[in-house]
Amino acid sequence: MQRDTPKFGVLAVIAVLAGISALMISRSDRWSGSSERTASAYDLRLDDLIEIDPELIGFQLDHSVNLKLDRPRGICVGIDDRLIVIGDSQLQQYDASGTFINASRFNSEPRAVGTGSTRHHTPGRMYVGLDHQIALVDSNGQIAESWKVPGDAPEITSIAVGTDLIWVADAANRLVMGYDRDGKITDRVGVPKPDRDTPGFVVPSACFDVAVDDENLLHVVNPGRLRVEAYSGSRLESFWGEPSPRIDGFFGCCNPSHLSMMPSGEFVTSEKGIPRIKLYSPQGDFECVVAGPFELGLRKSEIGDPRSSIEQAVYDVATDQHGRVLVLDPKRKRVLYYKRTRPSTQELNSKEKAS
Amino acid sequence: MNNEASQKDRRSFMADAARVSAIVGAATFGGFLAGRKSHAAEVRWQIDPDKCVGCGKCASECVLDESAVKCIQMFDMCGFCDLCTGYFDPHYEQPLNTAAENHLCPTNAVIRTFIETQAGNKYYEYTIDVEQCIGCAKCVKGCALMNGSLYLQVMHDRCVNCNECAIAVACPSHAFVNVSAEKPYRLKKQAEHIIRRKAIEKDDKEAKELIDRVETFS
Repeated sequence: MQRDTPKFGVLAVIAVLAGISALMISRSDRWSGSSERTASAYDLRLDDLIEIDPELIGFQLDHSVNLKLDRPRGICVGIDDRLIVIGDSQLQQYDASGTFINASRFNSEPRAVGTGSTRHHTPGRMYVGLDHQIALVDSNGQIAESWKVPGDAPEITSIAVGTDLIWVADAANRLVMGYDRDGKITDRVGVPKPDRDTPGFVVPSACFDVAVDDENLLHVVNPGRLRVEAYSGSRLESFWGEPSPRIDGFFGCCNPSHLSMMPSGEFVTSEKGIPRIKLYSPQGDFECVVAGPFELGLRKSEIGDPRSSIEQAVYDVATDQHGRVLVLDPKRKRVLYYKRTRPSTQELNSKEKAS
Repeated sequence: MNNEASQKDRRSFMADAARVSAIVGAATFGGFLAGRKSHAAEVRWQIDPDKCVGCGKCASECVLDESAVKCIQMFDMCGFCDLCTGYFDPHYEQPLNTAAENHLCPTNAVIRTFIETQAGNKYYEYTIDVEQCIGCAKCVKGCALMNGSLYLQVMHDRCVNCNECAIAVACPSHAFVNVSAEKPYRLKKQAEHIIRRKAIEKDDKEAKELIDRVETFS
């Protein structure tokens, strides 16, 4: 009995030391322990990027218009706030209350649409980008004529209509072409001119949007540089926007995917990946969020889901005369109308000056 | 009387034996013909990239110590970004820092190589180090946020082609399918569309060869 006691004591000390060592090893090795912890190493953590601070949201859903299309692709707003939608080899028109007016059919899938405002030489005319041509459609839905698009396998992604010129963005050739009223190309924006600090556009995917303001200044998204550039003719005037996952920046490799302009000169942007519709001042300062992923009806699990049926939702945006933001929801085949819930920074500043 | 009955039984036995032999022979010949005609083509397991949800089970459920599932880069869809969401953790900050803690891949299997500067932007090529890749699909999910050019495929130089694939059993989206052993790889639908267009409109020889080598949808 007396001999066994020290042996037991030594064994007990060894066992305690072994236990402490095992605990220390498991604590210091982040891959050990539960399988849950190992599995989380394969998770893509996006929660803090998906959830948007409600204080930053300056718009609310007003109403929505259900579309008579299976694969809606793009929208724009015409005179009298007429809603124009393309998809399913058609162009459809709806009045401001969402009532269907008419449809124009094409032989191929329309890729982009733009329409002339009251400043345009033919107010209300619609320009539809097809495979290798631009179709000119009158407000009654009749196709008046068509223009050829030059280039090797062009990919028309956006059309913006100014007073005299019609700007057509071609993602495949990384160019924006300016057509005059006769269909002749008079300007080419994006041809690299390093001596004039216009290096051209970086377009990693088929998202390449353009917009024109009241002064006919052309605004082009340079998606690979995650910024919006302003051009006068083919000369770069200014740019704004920076790459960042933060709410005031543009996320990922190539954003914003879509761009539109408010009547007051503010910019509305739409991002892909983590869908965020945001409002920026005319100078390019972040103003507020129009809608985040949850406001657009997305579930957390849908973001980063690689299935082709889910990943390809890119939300086109447009604005109407009332300052509402229209968002095309291609998944649910509808257009969402968002209205402001608080005044813009411009309005606040002018009120301050007045007082 | 007994002798006559015994002879009758023998005749009947011989007749029965002949009938049974004929039936067995006919059945065997029929079975042989049916077997020849219905000889199944050899198949392999493959992932349909349009159904894969990137759950990570490919990394842990394969019977091999190191999964036979690896990530591939489809350059026709993307692959030359500066800021790749399949490479960087989504919480990146500017200026981009390529230190290990900013990598999305847990095994450093996505390789970022500088190619050139174009239009004021640096272009990097993103490739997969197959030896390091464990098929966890973290980069696949990251890439799906943007252009979706990274996706998983079963590598047939590693796969032992189990009769019942353990990953296929665990796959939550039924993305594992049987494909012909002659064309054991699949393209994403979007990639197929791009490559087919390249083959037709640009008469691209490589694109044509690729379409011929893989299982396609159309």
